[in-house]
Amino acid sequence: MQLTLKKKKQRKDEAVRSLLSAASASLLLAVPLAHAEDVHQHHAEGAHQHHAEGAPEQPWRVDAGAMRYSEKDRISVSELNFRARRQLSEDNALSLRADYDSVSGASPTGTTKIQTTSGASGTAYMAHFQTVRAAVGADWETSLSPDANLTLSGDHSSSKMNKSSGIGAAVARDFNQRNTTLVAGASYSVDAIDMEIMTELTPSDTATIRATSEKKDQIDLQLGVTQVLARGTLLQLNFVHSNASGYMTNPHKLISVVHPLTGETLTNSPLTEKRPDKRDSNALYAQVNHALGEGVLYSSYRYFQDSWGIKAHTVDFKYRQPITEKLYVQPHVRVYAQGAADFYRSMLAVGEIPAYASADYRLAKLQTNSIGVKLGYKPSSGGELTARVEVMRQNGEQHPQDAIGVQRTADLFPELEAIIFHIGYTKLF
Amino acid sequence: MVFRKLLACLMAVGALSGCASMQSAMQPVQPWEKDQLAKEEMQLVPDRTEEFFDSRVYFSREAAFGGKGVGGGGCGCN
Repeated sequence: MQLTLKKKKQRKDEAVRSLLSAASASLLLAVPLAHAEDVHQHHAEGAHQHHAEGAPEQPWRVDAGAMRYSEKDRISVSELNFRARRQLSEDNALSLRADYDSVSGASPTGTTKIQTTSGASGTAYMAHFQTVRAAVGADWETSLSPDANLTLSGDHSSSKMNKSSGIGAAVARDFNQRNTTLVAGASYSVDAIDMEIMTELTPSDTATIRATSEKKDQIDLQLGVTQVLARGTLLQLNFVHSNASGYMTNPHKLISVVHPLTGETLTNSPLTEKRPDKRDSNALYAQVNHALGEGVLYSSYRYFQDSWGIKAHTVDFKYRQPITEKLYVQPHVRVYAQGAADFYRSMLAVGEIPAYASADYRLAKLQTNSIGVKLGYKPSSGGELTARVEVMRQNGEQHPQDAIGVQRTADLFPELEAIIFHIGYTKLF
Repeated sequence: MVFRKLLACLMAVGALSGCASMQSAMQPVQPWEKDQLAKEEMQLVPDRTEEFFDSRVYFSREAAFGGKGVGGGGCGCN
């Protein structure tokens, strides 16, 4: 009997070993693209959940979700997300994830709403598009010592015109009776775009094809600390520095050219945009989880600044309150405010050719307000079901100072309203 | 100028005393006191799917990004 068990264990160990070598090989061969938070996220699991749950009895964790994001009169996104994590042994865990989304609808081109060019309807203020994207990723978490974990990750995503691949590594080390965890991480990603790239800051009707593909590299470096402040209070501080170089212009965006005094669109041909090919950014993030009776308050703040002159603040609050043993409710409020990029221009005057210019509203001064609520249900059979609805509103300067003449009468930043529905399911087994 | 210096000194003293009082109040939480922290809802990311969808939405609608960890870049998507 014992012999059989031993053999079984040996076979299991071999299986685990081959799985691990396959996983590490695929990671090293640059499997897959990554989503920003994953490396850190899995550290969090490593540092806290791992010890809390103990692996052996329920080695699997599966998370699945579906989202529908709909903007009023603009784009809609349907997205599916799946992830599975398997505790392979006491010291090793492997996670795999897959994501699929479909985007369609109208997006602002960057041109102004008022087009006075005679005999034409002007260049469309909105452009319709449709795209699908698929992404896969993997993480391997392993213990370096009883107090230290290493997470290696790889990700890849692909759509018709865009491909992105990334690898990452993060080390987490516990100190102070596991009340303090330090994290250091680094990642590298390459984004490639395959389409006809037109000459920049050129009238769109005379622009010529400059390239048929472009790429961008990005390095992210992270230093973080998680501190248990009290029995029911956890603090996380994180600093992330990113360095991106390469093609960051949006090939789909345009800028209107207007008469310097009247603001009339004298030409039917707005300019293509151009952004700098370097971007350094820094994000400082703080989060506090605080138990309040049976509930938990999650508060976070992020300060962001980059070499394009953008400064942004994000404040986020969630409060999770149990209603019954199986049901909880979680209201959510998020406020975001950003300043404009140095080269953001709502329009250009005739003859004006700056070094860089973009009229993409996402680089303008803007504010986002979101409010939502989530319901969570834990059936007796185990697992957890969640359903969430959220409303997001984005506002900016409707009449910016750089608007000229007749353009001042137009609403140059129409409010964007979006509704987000999301359902999710999590199961341990 | 003097006021500014005085204010800076006061703030420094305040911050230091704040740290000191926090330190004294902050006895390390013992392993047997971590029942609450071990709960799923006390994890830094209690709901991964929610976190993922949120980061996707805001990454494509705002200029700022990241802060929670490393990895990523993006899809260059609209």
